[in-house]
Amino acid sequence: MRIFLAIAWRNLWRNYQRSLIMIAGIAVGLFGLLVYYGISNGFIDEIVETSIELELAHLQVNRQGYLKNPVPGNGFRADSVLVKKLAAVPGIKAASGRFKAAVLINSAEKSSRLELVGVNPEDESLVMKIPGLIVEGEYLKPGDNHRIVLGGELARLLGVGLGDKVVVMAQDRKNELQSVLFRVAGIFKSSAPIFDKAAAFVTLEAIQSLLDRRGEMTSVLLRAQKGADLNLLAQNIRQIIKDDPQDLEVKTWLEVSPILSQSIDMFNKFIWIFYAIIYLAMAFGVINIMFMAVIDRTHEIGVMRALGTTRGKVMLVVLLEAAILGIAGLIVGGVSAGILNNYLSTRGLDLSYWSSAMSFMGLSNVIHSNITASQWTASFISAEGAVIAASIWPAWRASRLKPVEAIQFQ
Amino acid sequence: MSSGKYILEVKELKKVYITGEVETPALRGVNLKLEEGAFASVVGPSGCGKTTLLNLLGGLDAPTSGTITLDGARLDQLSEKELSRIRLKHIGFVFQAYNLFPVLTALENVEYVMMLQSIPAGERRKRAMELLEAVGLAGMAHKRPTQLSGGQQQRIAVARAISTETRLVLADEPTANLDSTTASQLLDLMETLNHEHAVTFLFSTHDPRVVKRARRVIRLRDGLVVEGNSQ
Repeated sequence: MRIFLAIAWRNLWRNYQRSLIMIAGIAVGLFGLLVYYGISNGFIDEIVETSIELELAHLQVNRQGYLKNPVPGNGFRADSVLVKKLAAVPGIKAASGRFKAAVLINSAEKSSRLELVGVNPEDESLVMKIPGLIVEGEYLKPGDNHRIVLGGELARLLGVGLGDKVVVMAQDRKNELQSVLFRVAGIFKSSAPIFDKAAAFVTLEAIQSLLDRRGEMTSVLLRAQKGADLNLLAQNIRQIIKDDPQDLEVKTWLEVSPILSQSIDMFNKFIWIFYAIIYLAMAFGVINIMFMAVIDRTHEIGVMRALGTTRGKVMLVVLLEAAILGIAGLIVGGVSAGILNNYLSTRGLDLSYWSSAMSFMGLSNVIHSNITASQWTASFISAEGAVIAASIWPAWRASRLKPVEAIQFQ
Repeated sequence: MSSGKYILEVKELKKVYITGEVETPALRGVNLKLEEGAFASVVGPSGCGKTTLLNLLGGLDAPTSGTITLDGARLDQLSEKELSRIRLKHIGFVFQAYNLFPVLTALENVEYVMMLQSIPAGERRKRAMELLEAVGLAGMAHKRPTQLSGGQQQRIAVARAISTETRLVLADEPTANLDSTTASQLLDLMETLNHEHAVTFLFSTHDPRVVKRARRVIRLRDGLVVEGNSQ
């Protein structure tokens, strides 16, 4: 084996230009793949983070049926005891109870339909991002039962600013129309203008009072510790809520949002299409170059066979050559991609030229590249596998050369 | 020295090359017996079938008809894999163009066949050095073929050819690319190895000075042995 490795290695440098071309081809292929992977992951991470931090949280406790029909009537009776109990689950960082309802909001100029969310301001600050996105005024404080926080887009639509009055109208438990006056306490701006246009926040007590649903919640949102296994957490929480007679259920953010789950799945499937295209292009290059190498060494292969080298060992030499070139290409491509990904993960990829599109998709203008260790490993292994697989045909043809014809080949 | 026993027996050996619709008979029914330890040459004009005969005897090509028996084994009946094994274990080749592996050193070239036979590294290195000494090139062990003269390369090829339990060395015009002095030295070496290692040598040539060195001469003309077909 050692001598075949020596033959393969030394053969590469007999035509170093050809070897360098093959290395470059593999390096560029892997570089493109890893950079695309990193940016694609960055997009997904951004979408997921935005969704989790604005709406979904890591886990949600709801009453069964609520997610299919999210109306106030499908809420459940709950108080701070349940919220504290859930917050105390190992792996959970914080919990926040909410009540959400579709309402009509009116200013002096305009009206708009939106989702009014009642929160406990202190708990909400620990779980969700909105309190940190205030750009004007301030977030709610406990007891602020006549103050409201609006999204920037909504405030602009309604033509209101800090301190202005808005009236919120909704149907209560008895389907009677109720209305309450609020003053704008704060305006927030997230990376998702669509969200900013359709969400407003009041205290839990305020919305419970408006809808005559004191002591009720529609969800408890949970933030997990970094790196926690959400499915395992969900299992543990299930044990806590299983005896509640109100048929409570717990779901991870992926389960809560099938559309988001599908979007992520779609992104991940695209990466496989990209893999296939890159590897196919690489394979054609490898096949071409290895065939040229075999033709160049036809005479030598004939001598090898004449001396008793088996077909299998002839194939081995060709495959070893390709494998070594593959590894060299992967190192060059991997290091280059690593440098660029490192830059893009820390400084980010600035897409502000397309800021409108990014806003529309609910993304910030800067995407941070991210590749996991397992993705690096899988890319390297599959790329090397593709190189070796592509060289099987030239290697096989080399092994099938007839010794007497190959020796006479010039 | 010849032992009296035949290492090679050839009966009615024919080889016809077909190119499109054209058939070219290279051998027309060769009959030949070669004793163990023989130091024989196959001579004849260009195109008489010398190389074809050596290729068939070495299992590099298959005959159209006829039989080849090497040490009791019918080469004409063996598969490609079995022929490969026979070449590895029993037949050594010396080519006109030396055909050393350019990326291997002299030592590694001599080791090559032993490596194919899975001889342990220490043992094969030792044997390879002994052979290089026997051919007078121990000091060139770590040189590559491009750093050696034609004569030196051919001596290394001979060392490679007898590096294992070679029974038969087939040399196709081994001195064709050498000057007369170097050619003579090479033949001295081959004779010495023939005497000391009891290896049978069969070499093709059309150089009369080389023919004179052979103890037996087999003359080929137009694909047939016209002289010296048995001893």
